[in-house]
Amino acid sequence: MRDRPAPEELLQGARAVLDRDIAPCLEGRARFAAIMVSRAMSVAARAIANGDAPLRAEAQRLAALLGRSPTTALAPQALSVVVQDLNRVLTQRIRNGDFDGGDTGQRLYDHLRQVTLDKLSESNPKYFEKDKTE
Amino acid sequence: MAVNVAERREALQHYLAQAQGEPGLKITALNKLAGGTVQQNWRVEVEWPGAGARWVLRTAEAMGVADSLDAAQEYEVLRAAHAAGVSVPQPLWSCADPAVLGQDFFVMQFLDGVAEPRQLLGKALDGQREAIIETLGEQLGRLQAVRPASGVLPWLPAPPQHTALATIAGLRAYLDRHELAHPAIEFGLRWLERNAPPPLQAVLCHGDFRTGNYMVKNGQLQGIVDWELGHWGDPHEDLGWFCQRFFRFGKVGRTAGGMATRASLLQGYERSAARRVDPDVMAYWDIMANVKWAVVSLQQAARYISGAVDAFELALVGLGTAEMEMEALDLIGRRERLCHA
Repeated sequence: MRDRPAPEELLQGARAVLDRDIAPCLEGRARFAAIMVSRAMSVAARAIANGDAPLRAEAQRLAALLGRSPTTALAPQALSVVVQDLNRVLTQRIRNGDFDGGDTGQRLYDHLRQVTLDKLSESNPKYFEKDKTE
Repeated sequence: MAVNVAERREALQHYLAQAQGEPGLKITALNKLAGGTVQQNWRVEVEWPGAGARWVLRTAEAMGVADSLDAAQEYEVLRAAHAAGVSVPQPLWSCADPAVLGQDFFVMQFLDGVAEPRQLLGKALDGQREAIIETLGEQLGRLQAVRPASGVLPWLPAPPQHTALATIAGLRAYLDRHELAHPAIEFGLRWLERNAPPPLQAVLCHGDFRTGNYMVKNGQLQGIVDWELGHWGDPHEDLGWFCQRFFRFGKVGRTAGGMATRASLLQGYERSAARRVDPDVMAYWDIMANVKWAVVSLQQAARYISGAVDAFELALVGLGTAEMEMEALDLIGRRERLCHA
């Protein structure tokens, strides 16, 4: 058992220092670099906090969509390989037209939206904030 | 290893003096301009008895980047655009003599102004952006008068029989080489394949027509730059690319490049192109542009991850893939009346 702060807490804390104490003192290219680093740290922190829950859910939905038996508990590494394989199968079936329209099309669409939402919740949670322009 | 132009100053001065026909020509300043991992641009200030000029020298930074034209070819595309009356930096000379820089380069007129998206999208241009984008649309309409049948740019690869389907095949070929499968992008490509409109007569496309690749000064369009991706393609390609989500730079409510409404872009375009844009066909090319950028964002991230380019900003471009996937899902969902929670 590691002591706290946990990895995501370290990243969040380091990012807070960067934003509060470092970035405001910088200009030009260095400031741009600091903003980039801060963004990368926040994405990594959110991903660590979520752990493999999104991947597990994706595996279950993929199995259902492809008519496979549900994935039983696996270590994260093995789970990742399973999902990669299932995604390759899904890709082929999409190209073959197996999900063109109808109920299967809607089920595929629901799944893809969920996967994409899960990625966005880590990479850019502000995506769904309304743009205030115009 | 690409050339360091500053180290070739003497040879360059000799060349420019000959090209300009002014034996007394001297380079008074030679400065590399910011940006570009594929091309390098140098601002060259010169003087000769009684006059002077400001030029830009453009040459390769990275060698052998796929899909991109070499300096001599880009120069020819720029000349074709210039001859068609498109607002661009005036092309001056193209040089293939290895004795000068050791690699091909070309020289064009320096354009004053700003291309950086954040500055263009900021307060300074409030109230002026719709007019700028209408003018820009007009330039695109003029560009499209350049067609393969006119006999110009005979060396450009012939247009595919069906631009949309050829683009889809190219994107799938890349995805097949990628380490991870991307079902959301595949869903987009499948939709694009099933809904492709009939092909139109090919026109000259800029290839990266977007905010960031045109210069503005005092609220006036100065010119369109970066012609290295010029090619024959569909008339809607550049329009869709201009409007895709990534190139709105966060101002997603301003469809045309984060700058203006699409109506302004199309108003200028339709005036000079003398053709109407069918909204359904436009919507198709919007989806194409977003799906294509989703793939490009994978490619950009891969350039960083593989170690080929040490530019961390490319990693962040990769983090944008999900945004493009969601935009494509939304656009297709709306057209197909798919529901979502």
